[in-house]
Amino acid sequence: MTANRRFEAGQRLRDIAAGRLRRHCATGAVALDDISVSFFSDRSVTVVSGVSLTILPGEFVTFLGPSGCGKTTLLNLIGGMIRPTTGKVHIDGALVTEPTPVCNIVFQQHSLFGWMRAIDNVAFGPRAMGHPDPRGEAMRFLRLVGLDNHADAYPAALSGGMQQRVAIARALATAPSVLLMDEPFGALDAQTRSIMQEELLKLRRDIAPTVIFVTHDVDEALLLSDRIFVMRAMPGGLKEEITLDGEFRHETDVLRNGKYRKLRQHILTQIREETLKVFNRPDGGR
Amino acid sequence: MKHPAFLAFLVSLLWFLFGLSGPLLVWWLAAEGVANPVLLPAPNQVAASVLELFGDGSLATDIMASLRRVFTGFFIASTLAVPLALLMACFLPLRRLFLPLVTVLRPIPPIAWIPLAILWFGLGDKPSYFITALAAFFPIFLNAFAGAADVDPRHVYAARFLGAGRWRMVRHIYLMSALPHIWTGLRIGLGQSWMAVVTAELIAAQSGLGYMIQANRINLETRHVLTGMIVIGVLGALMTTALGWCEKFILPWKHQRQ
Ligand SMILES: Nc1ncnc2c1ncn2[C@@H]1O[C@H](COP(=O)(O)OP(=O)(O)O)[C@@H](O)[C@H]1O
Ligand SMILES: [Mg+2]
Repeated sequence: MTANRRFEAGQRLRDIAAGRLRRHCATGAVALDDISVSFFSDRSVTVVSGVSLTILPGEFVTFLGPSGCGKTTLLNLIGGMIRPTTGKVHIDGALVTEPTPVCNIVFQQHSLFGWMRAIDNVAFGPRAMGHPDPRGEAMRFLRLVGLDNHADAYPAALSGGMQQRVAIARALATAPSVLLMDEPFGALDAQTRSIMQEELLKLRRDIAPTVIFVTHDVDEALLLSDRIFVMRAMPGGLKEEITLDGEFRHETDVLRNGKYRKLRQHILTQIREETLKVFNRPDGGR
Repeated sequence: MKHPAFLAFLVSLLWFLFGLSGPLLVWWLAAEGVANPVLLPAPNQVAASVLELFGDGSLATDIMASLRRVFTGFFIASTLAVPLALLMACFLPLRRLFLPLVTVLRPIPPIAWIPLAILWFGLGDKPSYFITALAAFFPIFLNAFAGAADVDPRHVYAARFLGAGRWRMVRHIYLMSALPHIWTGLRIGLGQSWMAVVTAELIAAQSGLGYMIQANRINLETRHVLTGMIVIGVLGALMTTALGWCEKFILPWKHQRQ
């Protein structure tokens, strides 16, 4: 791990071929090619500019940055929910133009279908995709997130953490190549969040889609990621790339690790710089 | 063994009757003061009228005629309004096509349609179906449209990521997330329809509660007029209450206990 180290796709591919990396997915390669996004609604606002990056199949990549720097916009681009003003997004060589089951998404909160029981939320995808046994498939994924005993509950009767677990099960039940997660644990209390992070890592041992994760929590990013993109603000873009290969994932007490503390401090400084930019702009960063 | 739900029901019923007893007393005293049953019959005279009209079967016939007209019109209105609202909310071209018409027709009260209704359909059930359907249509349509247009974009995206096609999207996302609004629309629509049937029958029918009130007014049988009014009020309240009870079957996710 080195800050600012250019990511070497060739080396990574050789690692995968040699089985040195645990993941061995064939799909889920994401390529952003000179992306910019402007919203013309009021004055022409450029929200994201000049973003190019490649994400490998099965990689866990995090966009880290202050609110308003364009993290959600990047995620929406990759999912096809918005179109870039310039540039192109490809997943596994196919141009992304609209949301399709190649990707799936977990939002911060309240995105479950409130009128469906947990099991029907999870079975929605398998049903839509013509799975022969959608309920059985849904049960399998609910069991995976430890909620098979809450299958018949409506979302409103579940805690925030449980709702997010159902949302994760629902997103995984169609076997997406790329899983987008927009601050998925951001609305949870610290204890629940930390358990959810461990659960997410466990899930990834069995099901290994490419994960593109958005957060403004430095510890969360350091704990989970193979690679972190620290974002710059106004306009949004990539400020720094940090490759970890998940090295802090299995540490029990990261804060005792000097390397972790140094890296954390470095990132915090970077983010603070960007936060001030957003903070000091005329509209206060709304 | 206790029945808390039944007890609670009994208590609220008692309060309901208690709340009505004051106005009833005022009515009684006023009737004593006026002492003219054509201007204001007393409650006991109206009670006698209720028994009389039930006894000769005419009241039941009128009630059935009105109910049939309301439910037929209401049924026509909901089967048209809900799908139209959903399709207009989901598909922009349809919205552009129909919204101007809806916007212009909406402010016209059902009663203004009665002349046309009589010209087109004659007297009897048909113009009343037309009027009750019209009265129910707009509350149902507008609520359903607002509900479907207000669907959470995250739900739409989530469904698309999950592979939902158009039909599944309309049926399971737009319809279901609009259902609380649609339900509100149906309740308001039924109430409007019930009020409109009386209006329609005053003019365009030869049976039903509205017709009965009109006929008795001409004969100066004010106690029968009041009977008609009270039956309308009680049936309307019963419908509202019944719909309230249905809600937990229509919107079960709003009523799940933790
Ligand atoms: N539809 C839109 N129209 C105009 N501005 C937008 C729109 N969506 C986002 N923005 C602006 O783009 C910037 C980045 O937004 P976003 O990607 O949501 O940031 P983040 O997720 O990092 O908090 C914000 O300043 C926001 O106000
Ligand atoms: Mg965001």
